[in-house]
Amino acid sequence: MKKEVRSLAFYLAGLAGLVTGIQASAYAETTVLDVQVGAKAAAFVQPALEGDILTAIVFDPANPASKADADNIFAALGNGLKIKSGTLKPKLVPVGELDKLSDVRVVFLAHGVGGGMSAVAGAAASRGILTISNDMNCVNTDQCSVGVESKPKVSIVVSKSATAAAGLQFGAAFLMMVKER
Amino acid sequence: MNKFVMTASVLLPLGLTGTAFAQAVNYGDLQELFGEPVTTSATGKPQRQSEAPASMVIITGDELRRSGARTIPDILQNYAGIDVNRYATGQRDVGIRGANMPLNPRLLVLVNGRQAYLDHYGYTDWNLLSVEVGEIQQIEVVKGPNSALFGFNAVAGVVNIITVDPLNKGNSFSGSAEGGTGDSYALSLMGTVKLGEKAAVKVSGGTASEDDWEEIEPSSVHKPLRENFSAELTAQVADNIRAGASYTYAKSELNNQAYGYSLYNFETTLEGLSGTLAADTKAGLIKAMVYKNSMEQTTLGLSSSSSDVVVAKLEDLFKVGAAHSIRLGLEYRRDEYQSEGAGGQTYYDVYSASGMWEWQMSQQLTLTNALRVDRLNLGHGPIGDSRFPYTVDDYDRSATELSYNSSLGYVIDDQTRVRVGMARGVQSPALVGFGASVDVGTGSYYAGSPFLGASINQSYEIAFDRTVPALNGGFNLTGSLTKVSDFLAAGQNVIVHLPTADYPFVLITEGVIGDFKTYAIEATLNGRALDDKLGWQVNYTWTDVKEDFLTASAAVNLTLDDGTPAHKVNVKFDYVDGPWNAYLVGRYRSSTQQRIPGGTAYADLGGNVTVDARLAYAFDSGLSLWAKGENLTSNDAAGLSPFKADSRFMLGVGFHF
Repeated sequence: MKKEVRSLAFYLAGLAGLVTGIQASAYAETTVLDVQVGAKAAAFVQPALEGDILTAIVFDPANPASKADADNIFAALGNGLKIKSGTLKPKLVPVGELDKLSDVRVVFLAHGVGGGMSAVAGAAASRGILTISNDMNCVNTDQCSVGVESKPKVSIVVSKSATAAAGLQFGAAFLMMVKER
Repeated sequence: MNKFVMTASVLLPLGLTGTAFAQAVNYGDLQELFGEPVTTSATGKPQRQSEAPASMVIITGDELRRSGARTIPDILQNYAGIDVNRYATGQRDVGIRGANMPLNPRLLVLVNGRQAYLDHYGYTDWNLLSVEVGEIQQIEVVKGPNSALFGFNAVAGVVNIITVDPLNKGNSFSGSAEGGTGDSYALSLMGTVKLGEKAAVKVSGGTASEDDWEEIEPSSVHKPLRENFSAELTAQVADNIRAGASYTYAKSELNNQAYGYSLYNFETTLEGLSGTLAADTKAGLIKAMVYKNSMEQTTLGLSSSSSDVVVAKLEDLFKVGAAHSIRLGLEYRRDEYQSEGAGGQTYYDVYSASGMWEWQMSQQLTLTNALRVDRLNLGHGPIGDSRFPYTVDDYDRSATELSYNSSLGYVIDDQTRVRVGMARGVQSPALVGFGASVDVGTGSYYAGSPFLGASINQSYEIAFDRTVPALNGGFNLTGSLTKVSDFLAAGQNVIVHLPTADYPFVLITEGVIGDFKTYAIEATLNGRALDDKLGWQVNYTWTDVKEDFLTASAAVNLTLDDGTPAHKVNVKFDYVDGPWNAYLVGRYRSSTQQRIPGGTAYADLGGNVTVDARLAYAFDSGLSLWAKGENLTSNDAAGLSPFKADSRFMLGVGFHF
């Protein structure tokens, strides 16, 4: 009997975790801290990104959550977020209008872009753009160069293939301290 | 057996190159990115403190300055597992996990990877660091053996002091002046200037002095004095290549409880020259470093000596795939020691190879191994003193030895981590112990011994770390066992040979002291409160030292067991609110016995509490004012010295632009 109760408890705990995970995913959004971590990570690209660094925030306009997340990122970047060697200058770019990525050096990918992720990855590879996202699925599928999370502690994942596809490099010390995949 | 032990380290899980990346790693930017201190002192690889495979304390320069600590040992004593004895006001000795002693030979101290440890006698005079408090980026303390990374003498632990990078600092100028009771004063200046966008210089200097403890003053020849100067040039010679050069000078005059716990007056100067080259290449992070330390020392009424150390090292840190980090290193060291007598020069050459392998086995499991092999060749110059009992051939000796560190870390969840580790560290005999030529008077002659072997430190450790969000802080619990065999400490286990028909002098040589073990448990709880304005920490250390010395004289001479407090508690508060900063620390030490110079008696120090505090105000203009007090509880035992400590009060003014 005790064993059954324990099994049930484990099952319920697992279910609760699953539900929590689903909820977290449904309401995931990029926080100000996430944006700051992503911006600081961009400062470790070599050679350094300098001057006014045009930064596109790519989102899916058909998905209100994605648009809201893009607005969060835009607000976090403000009129320009200064990093070590330059300033990230943001602009919003719908995922269907990737031709607007000319001169863009960095892309922050909002949550909820879904299937548009691969188009962004292609554009980033062809234009040498650094792609950053708090949607870890993007880096975990090698469609973003960098995935960032600031909670519960700062976590940075770098996709070797996405970074190489964009012709980008990071400093060795930085790479020693992040998770590469 | 014609080999003495010495040398090598194999580190299983810990690193290799730590020292080399001193300024190849941008500590400030990486710390800002990850939100916690970054270190290379555990493995040679840059790592977050929370992920380092070693027991570490990292103290930021900002906290050091807020604390009002006048020297680095003054702040180190506030942390778990660290013992500090201030036998005299100018003399501070630092031990890790107990067994501290005057001229402690078991702690390696470095500044930006250049050793400040004095090889000739095997100890650190903290007045000779050539570093001002204002220029320190952070202090990294590794507890436990780490000679697989740093080489000889990193056996109880390592203190690596990292200074600010002038190229990142930009143009700045800062300084301070303070004075107070005990006729104490301290002056400090530091400036950094950028030379265009690719180069910068840093210049610093300072002096400090104060009366010695009241009981020492009557016999004091010197008022304790520190003077130092340093200059550093660094340049980004290419996008991926950084070069640097530095010069340091320091002078220390102090009363020192030293050989046989007797009190001597030391005058020491230390000059250092170093050059570094770091390149971020496709083959990894490559660093080369060359430095030379030149020391001159006079022990008033006894002897004078000089010593030169030249070190050259090369290392490469790189990743293989996503899961493996590798460090490979080579090092050459030349140590020369000349005592005042005509006995000649004692020297050795050390050739070392080292490696570190970190394997991220899964998201949860990380294995780190480090290994180092050192080959030491001992030698001696021409001998011009008939009293010197050895021949040049006696010094034709060599030894090879291994050091290692190995650690397995397991991340239980986002907040919890456990780690187990083991390490083997190697302590080399000091040059004085190998051979000196000192007429100690009354027909006695000190010569050391070329037949000494190395001391081995074998350590086992288990650690548990957990973040505590409710406290905005964390908890650490660490247990360790260290077995020290064939312990060496120059001057602490002399062997006296009575005159014979063939040798009509009292000959003094050196021997092994024996073995000891230390058991330690360290617990630390820290957090932040009051809207992040208040940082606080409580830590507790239990230490037990078991001596197994070879001779009765060694047991009398050394009080590693009874001299170590069994229980230590530290409580500190660091409050910052706008322009105000208040720092308060209280320390409890359980009873100890400290050896009284000039005999075989001990001072019994009861359990005691010491409180230090500092209150500061910073104006918008860059000016700041402060008042601070040391030993506010007027605790006689505050220094853990046989001499009574007194209280000191100081007022200070500082500026930074």
